[in-house]
Amino acid sequence: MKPESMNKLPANPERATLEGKNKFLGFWFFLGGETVLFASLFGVYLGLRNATNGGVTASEMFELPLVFIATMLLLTSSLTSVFATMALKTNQFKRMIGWFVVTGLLGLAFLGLEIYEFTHYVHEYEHTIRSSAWGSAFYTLVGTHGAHVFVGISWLTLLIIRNLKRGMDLYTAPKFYLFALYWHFIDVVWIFIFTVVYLMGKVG
Amino acid sequence: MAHHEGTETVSEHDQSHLDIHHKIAHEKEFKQQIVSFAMMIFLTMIAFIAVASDAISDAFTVVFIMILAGIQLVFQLYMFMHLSHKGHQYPAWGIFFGVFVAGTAVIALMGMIW
Repeated sequence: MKPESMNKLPANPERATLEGKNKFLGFWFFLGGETVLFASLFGVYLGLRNATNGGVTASEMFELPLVFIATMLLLTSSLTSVFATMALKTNQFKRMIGWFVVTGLLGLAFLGLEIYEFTHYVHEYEHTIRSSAWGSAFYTLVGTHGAHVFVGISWLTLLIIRNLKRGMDLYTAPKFYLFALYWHFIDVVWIFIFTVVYLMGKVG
Repeated sequence: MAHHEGTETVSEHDQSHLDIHHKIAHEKEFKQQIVSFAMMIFLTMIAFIAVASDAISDAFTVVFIMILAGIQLVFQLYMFMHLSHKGHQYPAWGIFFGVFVAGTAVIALMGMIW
């Protein structure tokens, strides 16, 4: 790589090479598939949300303040990854890494809150994945989302460690750009989880 | 955008002109992102308030919060994920085909289990 072309990146460095273009397109198609994966879990959840097997119900168990804080954490992390993408497009590598680190930390906080929430449900309400059809649907749907957050944080950590010294070029730009897309997608899924699972659960 | 491959051949004057052009577009985008984020926070709060208060009927609340979620989806896709930018025709096909299958799957599963 010529040093000149490195400090003058094109306007969309994530799609400037054929490899970048392929990754970009492939990743969007992958997100289309992920949408269907989550749709199957949402459909099952909506079908089974009242099958409580005589145990605790959604409106008795869910606490809105906790869900609200989790939502704010994830929504803010979506904004910080937008800032990271903007730094990527203007070739400010350190700033991009900084915003991605903030994104990852917010994701970790979200994950910590979710782990607390699940242990709380298990110990306070004896609501487990085996207690009812609703329990199975709940932990599978929300847990699959949580697993996606975990995968995202791991992916981001590896990306940063591996490319910290490499800096910004047409090879690393698509990698970071795709992570930001993935992170926004996770936030989109969460929007529907807090609406369909928690808010609709409270309404009854 | 036409100036991708021409970056190294443009004159210094043209380059600085392009840089200014980028900078203005960038600042405009930054403002749009901040407004989108504020809107999403606002919509989220409205949804939580609608559920927490007893002012509106349950049936209407469900429809209302689903609409709010739909608006947030559009904000995420078009603002945060840049689906409105140039060169996103195929990604749009990919994601909306996914959304279409997703909608069908949700309705089918709900109907089958009920």
